[in-house]
Amino acid sequence: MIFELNDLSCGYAPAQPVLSHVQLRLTEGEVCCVLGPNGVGKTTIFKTILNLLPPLSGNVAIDGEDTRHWKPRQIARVIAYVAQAHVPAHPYKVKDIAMMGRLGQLRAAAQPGRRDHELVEQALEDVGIRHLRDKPYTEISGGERQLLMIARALAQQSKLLIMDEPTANLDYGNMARVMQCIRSLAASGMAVMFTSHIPDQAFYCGAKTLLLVRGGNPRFGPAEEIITERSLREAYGTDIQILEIIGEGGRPLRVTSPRFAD
Amino acid sequence: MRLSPDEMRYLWAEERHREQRQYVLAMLLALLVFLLCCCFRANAYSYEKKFVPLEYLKNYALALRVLFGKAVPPASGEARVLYLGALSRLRSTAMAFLAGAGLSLAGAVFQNAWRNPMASPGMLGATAGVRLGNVLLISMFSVSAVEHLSLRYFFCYGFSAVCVGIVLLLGKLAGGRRRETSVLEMVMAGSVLSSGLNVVTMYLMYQLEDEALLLYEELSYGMYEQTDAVSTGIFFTVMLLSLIPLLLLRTRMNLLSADRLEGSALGIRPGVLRMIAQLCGVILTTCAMIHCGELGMISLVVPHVVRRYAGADMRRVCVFGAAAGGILMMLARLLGSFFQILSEPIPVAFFINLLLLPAFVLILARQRGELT
Repeated sequence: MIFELNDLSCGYAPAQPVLSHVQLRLTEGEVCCVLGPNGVGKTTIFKTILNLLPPLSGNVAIDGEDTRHWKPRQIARVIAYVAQAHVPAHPYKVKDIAMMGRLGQLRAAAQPGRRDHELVEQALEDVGIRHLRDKPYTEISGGERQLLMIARALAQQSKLLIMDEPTANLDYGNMARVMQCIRSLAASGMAVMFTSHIPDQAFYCGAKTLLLVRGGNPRFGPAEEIITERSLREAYGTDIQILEIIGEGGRPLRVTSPRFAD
Repeated sequence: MRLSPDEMRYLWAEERHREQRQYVLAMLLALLVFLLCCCFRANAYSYEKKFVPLEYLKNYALALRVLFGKAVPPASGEARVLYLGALSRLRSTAMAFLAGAGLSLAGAVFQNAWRNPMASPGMLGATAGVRLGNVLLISMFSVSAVEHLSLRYFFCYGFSAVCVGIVLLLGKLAGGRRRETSVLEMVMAGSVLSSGLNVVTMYLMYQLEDEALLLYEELSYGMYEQTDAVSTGIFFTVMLLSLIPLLLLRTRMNLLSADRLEGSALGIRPGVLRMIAQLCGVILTTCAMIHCGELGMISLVVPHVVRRYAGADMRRVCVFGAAAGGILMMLARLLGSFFQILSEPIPVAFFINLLLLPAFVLILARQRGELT
């Protein structure tokens, strides 16, 4: 699977594009971290990718085919989406939420069959929360919820997983677990695209980075090339230093830290 | 770790078995209550001097044979009276079941589609539209209003449709260029519109003469039974045409609990599905209200009770909710036939609320217990 954004401009009115000239290419097993300040258009770009907003110019292509006229079911076969905060009004059980990944693939009045149940059980097992299958969604922790959303995406059997700030509001342990899960998914051949406000996460996953800058052209490339002190200052309007440390096994690691005035 | 095929097979078989057992139990319970309500009902018809459940059962069997051309109905005498009485009771009990089932299903679907536990078709102004339709018709034709069946449908469905249309449009406009319907604005518009229409309804109501006012109250509170063949036929047709799509789409309705972006990524058109759910829910409520009056808290409370015991999965909520709503409505009418205050009938809604209130309080208490 090759996922591309070709010179994509998106927004709600042709005269006022929220984002312009987005260029991106992602293949199986690759991770892309989308960085940028609040309100720069991260959700708008996801809406365009998922066909809820038509591109103002350029296109979204999967394996070279423009997806503009694809039906939601076609999109769902390739792309799964995990929202930032999933808060259902009713206490669905964990297995019911995971099953939702299968429902869009079925015919309108069809009921899930044995194969669907098997995929759901396997997806819950893969992310390590099968022991919670009969628990209400409202009674599990934030980290477990995020893993459940990933399980739902796995049950969907798509090739690209898009996640909107998957670690927002999570404690450090849960953040690490979700990051580990993203790395595992990429290792298993899935392409993952996620937004974040923490540039370190792009380094954790060895991700390609799409940096969105207000009023400037988006930049796309390997994290080490795109995330520089200068580009971070342009994007976030504050001084951020990039430190290189030696991790376990002598492997160099990059981390970011704000540069304080005093 | 890959799960073994044996483990998968066991889980699948166990889940299916449990689900089928629950469905069969719900259907048996509904059938039992249906037969009970068909056979025991006091004060329904003036010519009945005693309880004759066995006679009724025989007549239902006869009606079935007549339906399949295996027998002819009694031509005259007491047997004929009893046969016609049984048929009328069968119709009104079936109507009660369908109305309860429809309201419960409409409530469940709205609560899911709007992702709001307090949502109901009434919030779109449907019930206010029916009230206005009824009072306007009675203002025009006084006590003979119920004879103008087609006009009654035109007024009630018309006002209901106009109200719902206006509220949906306002919700869409409030969504602005983001093309998302604003639920909050829609609820506010529904409340304002309903309040406005209720004022007009009240004004017209106070202009009614005694007998006309009594008829309006009977129509509104479900004390007027219109079980003639034409209105029963229309009721069943409309209810089934709205119930069946919702029951068929019940699995997919689960996806409406996700937001628009997620729903679309899961492979559905959330707007289309939500519109089908809203349309069917409004028709069910309007139809139930026209034929059976205002029926209290069924659409609000029954889905919550069902979710409490069967989980939030719409596959189960729709089936068990419809069964529970139907059973509740039949029982409320059965109770209503036995009790009177100063020789005046008590509205069915009173018994429905009386039966539902303890369940609602119990749910709240349990939730409170879990939270603390």
